[in-house]
Amino acid sequence: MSDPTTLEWVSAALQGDQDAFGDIVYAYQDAVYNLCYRMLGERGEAEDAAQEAFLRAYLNLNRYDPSRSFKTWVLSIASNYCIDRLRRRRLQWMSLDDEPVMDRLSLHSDDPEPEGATLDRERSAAIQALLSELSPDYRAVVILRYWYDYSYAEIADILDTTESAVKSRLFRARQALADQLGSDAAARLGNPLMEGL
Amino acid sequence: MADERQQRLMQEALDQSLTPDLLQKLREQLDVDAESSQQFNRLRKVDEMLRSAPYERAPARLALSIMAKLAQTVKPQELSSASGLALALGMSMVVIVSLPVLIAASSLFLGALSSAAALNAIIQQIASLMALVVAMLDVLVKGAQSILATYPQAPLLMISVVPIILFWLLRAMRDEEDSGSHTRGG
Repeated sequence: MSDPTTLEWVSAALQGDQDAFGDIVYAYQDAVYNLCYRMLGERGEAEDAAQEAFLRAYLNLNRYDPSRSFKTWVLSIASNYCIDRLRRRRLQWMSLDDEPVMDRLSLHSDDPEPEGATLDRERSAAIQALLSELSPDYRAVVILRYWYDYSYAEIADILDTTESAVKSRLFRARQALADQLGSDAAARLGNPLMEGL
Repeated sequence: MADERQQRLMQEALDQSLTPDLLQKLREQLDVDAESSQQFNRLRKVDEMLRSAPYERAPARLALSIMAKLAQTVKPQELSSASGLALALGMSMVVIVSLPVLIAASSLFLGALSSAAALNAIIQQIASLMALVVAMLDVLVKGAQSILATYPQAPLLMISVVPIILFWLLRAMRDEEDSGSHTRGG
């Protein structure tokens, strides 16, 4: 269940108060944007997707069940939208997707940045490159589990599937990522990904 | 290579949902199986890597662009075609009914401007007409109340008669059109 403030915003937005919906956007934009970025792997696309997710949330606000968490509801809209978008993209970009993941890990930027920020950015990009190897359904499970700390039951609710399916997808996704990070790849990276492990 | 049961144990270990006994059992198995041990290490690295992954913050412009898009997308609700038609019909009826009254009132007013006595007479006539209308309404309401008290089902009966009358009127109009076209055709 959502906190009382969010429920008040939802109630006001349902009566046409767009400022109340603005408060909702400010409160949940980071969560939605992070999900979209991790799903789509590109900042511009993530912004578009987050925008679309919030618009869909606004237009379907009357379907929101106040007994559910609002965050879970809006993340459900965002993740399903991203999965659809990735499936469409996969059909369009099939031929461009042959580049091996490790070749895409160009982790060095020309901009001078503090060491910590650079490391974060590199780690983020490296993780993103690995995630992009997973199918949309698997990717969504990994993101909801690791970035949002949702339980299997909550992920199943968000993705409209069963707990056993979630468990199985996470199992296979970890396995696929572990295979990607095989000993030779880990040696080639030898850096941000493995840092601190 | 780890078998299915061992793989399941590894996953549950990553989820920290293994009992101490099963965890100990897994450790013992990994101690004697180098390949499975390597596999578990890779899984553990993936798990730790994902746990330490940074959280991407939304750019500052995102909320503003969402609200701007929302303002563009959500326009005031347009009237549906049915309600638009009903509104047009209602307006037409009001105009049709009020037009003769307005014409008569204008003519009387213009005539009365030339004579104060005539103006006085017209005002008195309008007042008496309104009194008559009010008295008629009063009689109608009282009559309806007495019918309702005697026959509680009367309003229901009257409402159910409305579609029958409408149907009868439509049929009569259609018959009229048919006979008209036969006359023109013949």
